[in-house]
Amino acid sequence: MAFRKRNVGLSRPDSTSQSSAALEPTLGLRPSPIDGRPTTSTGTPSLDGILAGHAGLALGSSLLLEESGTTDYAGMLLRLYAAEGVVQGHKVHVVGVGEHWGRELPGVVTGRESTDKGKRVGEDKMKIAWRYERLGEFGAGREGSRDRTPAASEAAANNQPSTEPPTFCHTFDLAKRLTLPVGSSMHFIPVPSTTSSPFVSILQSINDQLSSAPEATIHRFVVPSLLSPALYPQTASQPSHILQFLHGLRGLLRTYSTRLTAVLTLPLELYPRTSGLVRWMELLSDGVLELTPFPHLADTLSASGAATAQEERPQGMLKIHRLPVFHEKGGGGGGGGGLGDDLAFTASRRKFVIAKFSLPPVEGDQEGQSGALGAEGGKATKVDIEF
Amino acid sequence: MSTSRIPPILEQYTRAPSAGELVLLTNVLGAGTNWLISQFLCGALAEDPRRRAGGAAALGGGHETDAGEEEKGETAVLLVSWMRDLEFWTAEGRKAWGLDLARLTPRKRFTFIDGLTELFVSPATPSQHPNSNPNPHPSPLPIRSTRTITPRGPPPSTSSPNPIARNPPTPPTTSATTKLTSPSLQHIESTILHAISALSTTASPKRILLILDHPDLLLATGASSAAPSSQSTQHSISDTSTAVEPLRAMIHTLRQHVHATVVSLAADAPLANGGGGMPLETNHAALLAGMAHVADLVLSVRLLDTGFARDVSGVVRVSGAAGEGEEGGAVREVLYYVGKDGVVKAFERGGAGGVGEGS
Repeated sequence: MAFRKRNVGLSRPDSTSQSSAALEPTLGLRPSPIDGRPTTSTGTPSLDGILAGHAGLALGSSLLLEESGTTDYAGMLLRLYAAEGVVQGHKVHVVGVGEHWGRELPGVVTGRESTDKGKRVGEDKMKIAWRYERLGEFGAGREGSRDRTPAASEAAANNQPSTEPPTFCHTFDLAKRLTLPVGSSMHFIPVPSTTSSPFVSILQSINDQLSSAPEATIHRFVVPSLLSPALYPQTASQPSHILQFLHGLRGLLRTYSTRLTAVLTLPLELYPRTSGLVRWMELLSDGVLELTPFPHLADTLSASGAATAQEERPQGMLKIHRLPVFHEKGGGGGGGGGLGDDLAFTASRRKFVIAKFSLPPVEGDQEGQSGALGAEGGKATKVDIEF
Repeated sequence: MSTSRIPPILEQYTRAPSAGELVLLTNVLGAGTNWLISQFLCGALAEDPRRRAGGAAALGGGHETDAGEEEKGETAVLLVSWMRDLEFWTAEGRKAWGLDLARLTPRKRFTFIDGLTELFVSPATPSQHPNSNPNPHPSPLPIRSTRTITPRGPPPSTSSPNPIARNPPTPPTTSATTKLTSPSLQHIESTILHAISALSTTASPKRILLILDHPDLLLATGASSAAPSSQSTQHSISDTSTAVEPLRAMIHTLRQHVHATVVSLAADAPLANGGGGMPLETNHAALLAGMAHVADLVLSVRLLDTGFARDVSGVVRVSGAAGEGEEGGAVREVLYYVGKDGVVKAFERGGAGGVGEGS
């Protein structure tokens, strides 16, 4: 019990971190354990964990999240990224969507609000997981830090309350709504409906924002559903428009390499990876992750918020095509955490976990295997891992 | 032993390209050519500082003969990068190769032309913040402040092609780095030619190694055919020749002014095949095939075909090397590994025992 109470004091409420954001300019930053470059959290601890050992998204780099199918898991990651930025007091720039998108950001889980006992246990587990994540990244280096050693997590739990560093990555609850602070730090950039390139004014806007902002401000650039016809005019997908935009964004990221990060999502259903356009978009991004959701049963989807025994069942595969910093330097084989492994993601109300994917033990026939994973999920799994 | 960080297997290819040579580097997503470009940088620049610094010392004795026969001029590198900024190359050169690019710049051994940061973004207007200096970097890297020489500086005794074309980009001259500010090929060509003439003056001729990092970006962004007035091309380029030919002609022109040229292009399957039928893909395929035919040496970097390995980053396929080493013109494949410290190891397939030889 004593442990829990200290924990309650640890996780600060929203307002505290907001007010301290003004005082502490480096809130939400921490140096990479590899080369010391500043990184910031994507809002998803396990996504931070697979970014080539940097334990966060390096400032000055971008991440392109591609997703096939009609689901919006990449959008969930994007909201977590934006919400983490708001909580940390970073300036969040959102392109293309209106303010309703900002109102739907998931809220922070604070210790006080989780009255439910079961939830609280889950939250404690999550916190141990992050803390170990942090320690594990510093110590273990190349191995992924997702494996939880009881001794290490115990040590982490004992050490943490005494040092009390500012939280690097918060826990968010999809069922809650983030209460935006009064002087909202979100900035919405509309897509102009001009016949020429709509991206020129977007780039100009973000450039103006960056150049006029104080130097200590950290910016996050959020682009949901890039090139989606619902948001962008048809001409936007012309190579001369979109690639110039991405190149300009890359230039901005390098120019403001200690202040800006960007995460973009791209629906692969409309723009397949086999096209040269998408390949160029990938080449212009620092990190490229592809989400391939399993076609799930309806009951699984409805139960996914419950976070019960079902949560171990992954909802899709995640492929790493490129990682920030790591691949720019030449790639080091499979050295990065998770690179080369089959990764799967599990989304639930409280967390988005990316973990190594493994099939249940094969007991001879395929019926048993598919039975263990659910009828259709198993089939899709087998198809999906055979890339 | 920090003599040469270039793996011996690759050294014969990356070290000192002969006159007029064109080296083509191709890369794919996940297997970049940055480390190879760094090797060319290192091969051209790294030996000389040692010779210079230790020239009077005991070390100089053994190298005097080398220096003697290359008396004609030292090697200088002109790096034009459309995908990466100077900080990246400086960090790469310093960490893995022990190069100090910032120190080489004032000595006119190295010039960087930035094609990334202001190609499509107009530079930020001088902000009204009193505390914000024109340099937007709070990062305390000393490179920026020490770099003062611009190729634009007093044009020394050269009838430079047309300095008028450098008319619009007045802002970059105030900063230390030369930046390409317009995607028009005329502007790019004149900027590069200007840099070449600034590097190699008649007083001190140098053998210039020109490295073009991803000029195919100009093709992909439609810049090579766009009007200089940034009139956006509504109609995608349909005719391959009109889109590719100016870029190829520019590279050809530039080659005539330098000692050797290294060009890196993307060769991912969707782009190299040109099968999609989109202008972007067919143009890229045409450029890539054309360059590969012209090139004297092609180094293709790709990922391992068999998946990931902990100690192998990828494969370099060497083709078109005519009679340099013992095997003339043979196609050869070498595995490579870029370590966390940036040191590259290259070894034959199956020759994992020789992993350590690169260090």
